[in-house]
Amino acid sequence: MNTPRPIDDATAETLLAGGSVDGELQPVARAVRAYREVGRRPVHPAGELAVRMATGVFTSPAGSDTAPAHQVNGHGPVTAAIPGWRRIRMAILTGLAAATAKIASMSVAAKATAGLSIAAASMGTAGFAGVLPEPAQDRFDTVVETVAPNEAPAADENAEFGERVSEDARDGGVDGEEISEEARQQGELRRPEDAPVPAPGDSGAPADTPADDHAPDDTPDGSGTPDHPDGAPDERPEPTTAPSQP
Amino acid sequence: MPTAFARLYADLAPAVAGYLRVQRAAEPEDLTNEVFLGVFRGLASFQGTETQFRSWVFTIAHRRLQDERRRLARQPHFTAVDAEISMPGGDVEQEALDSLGEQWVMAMSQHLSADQRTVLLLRTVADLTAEQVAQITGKRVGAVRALQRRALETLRRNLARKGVQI
Repeated sequence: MNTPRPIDDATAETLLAGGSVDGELQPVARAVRAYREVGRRPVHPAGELAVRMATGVFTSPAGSDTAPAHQVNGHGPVTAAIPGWRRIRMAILTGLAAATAKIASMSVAAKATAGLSIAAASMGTAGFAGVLPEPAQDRFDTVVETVAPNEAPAADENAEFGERVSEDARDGGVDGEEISEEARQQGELRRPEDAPVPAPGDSGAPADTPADDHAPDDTPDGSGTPDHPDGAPDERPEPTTAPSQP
Repeated sequence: MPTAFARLYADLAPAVAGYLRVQRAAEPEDLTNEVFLGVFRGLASFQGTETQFRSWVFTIAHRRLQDERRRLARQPHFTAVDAEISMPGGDVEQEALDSLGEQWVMAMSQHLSADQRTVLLLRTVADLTAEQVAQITGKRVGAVRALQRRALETLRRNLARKGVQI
């Protein structure tokens, strides 16, 4: 029985790019196509994202008194401070906005999409222009006031954060989004402002070194450095600049 | 500009959600929403080309996934293993076919190491280059190429062993 020829870099690139390969590798090529298909199943925005997409309120509208997008944070617990009757209104508006966003994301004719989106924009920005009925206007104001400004926690709150997560887990009140956001923010605090950012194309090594072939490929994070010794997460802030182009 | 957000979402969210599903995120749709909230909030500060934007989005998705895994590792969770998240609307038959294909991909991915799976998904589902994957994962380009070779070899072995028809 013949041993199949190992897949080299060129063949791997061909396979991953969907190019034609030898008959023996056809099953692998089909598998790669199946992987690609995974990323084509449509999804629809929901909840806060749907509302924000429908209203376009990720950036500060001109002439409004709302916080700019980079200050609006902590989306998880927004409704916690809102009275019950407002939550019902919010749920209705959320449903409407989600439906609008869903329609906008469908592959219909561009003009139709644009028309719907413009209608959605008109509906959304009205809340910020003060033309909505007072209760609805209040709802928008409350949401914005609740989520902004985004005050970063003090560095010594790291320990408290762990305790709070633990307590939340015990009483069943864990808010995943809140914790994720908070952990991320604390990670940002720990990162020095001038932390080095990988230079474009800086691989630190030739494109394919023999050592890489023999290196274990499933180390925890590939960096060779452990997580924080105190057990704290080593989240990094989300980048604000683009990774380099190859 | 809601239209712009909708277009960006329609263009990239399926790939982000697919990446998170095969990576077995606890709540892939929720996490996708979270990723795009972060993306759209940071949009004003983004500088780069369209290709770089795609890479940036997956950098955020990858980090959010890591955050979720760390969080779940620290706390007990009770998620139904095969719970299906229903999606409103759409073509039910097509969704069923897609789901079957995805289940096959998830089954095949179980034979890959975590790093091999991440690299293969970022190369195929996210459609990123080896260099971009290297930046996202914090690995050298050579290591990424080695991982993708091994991932493909593992796929080939398992396909041959099981006689799987795709």
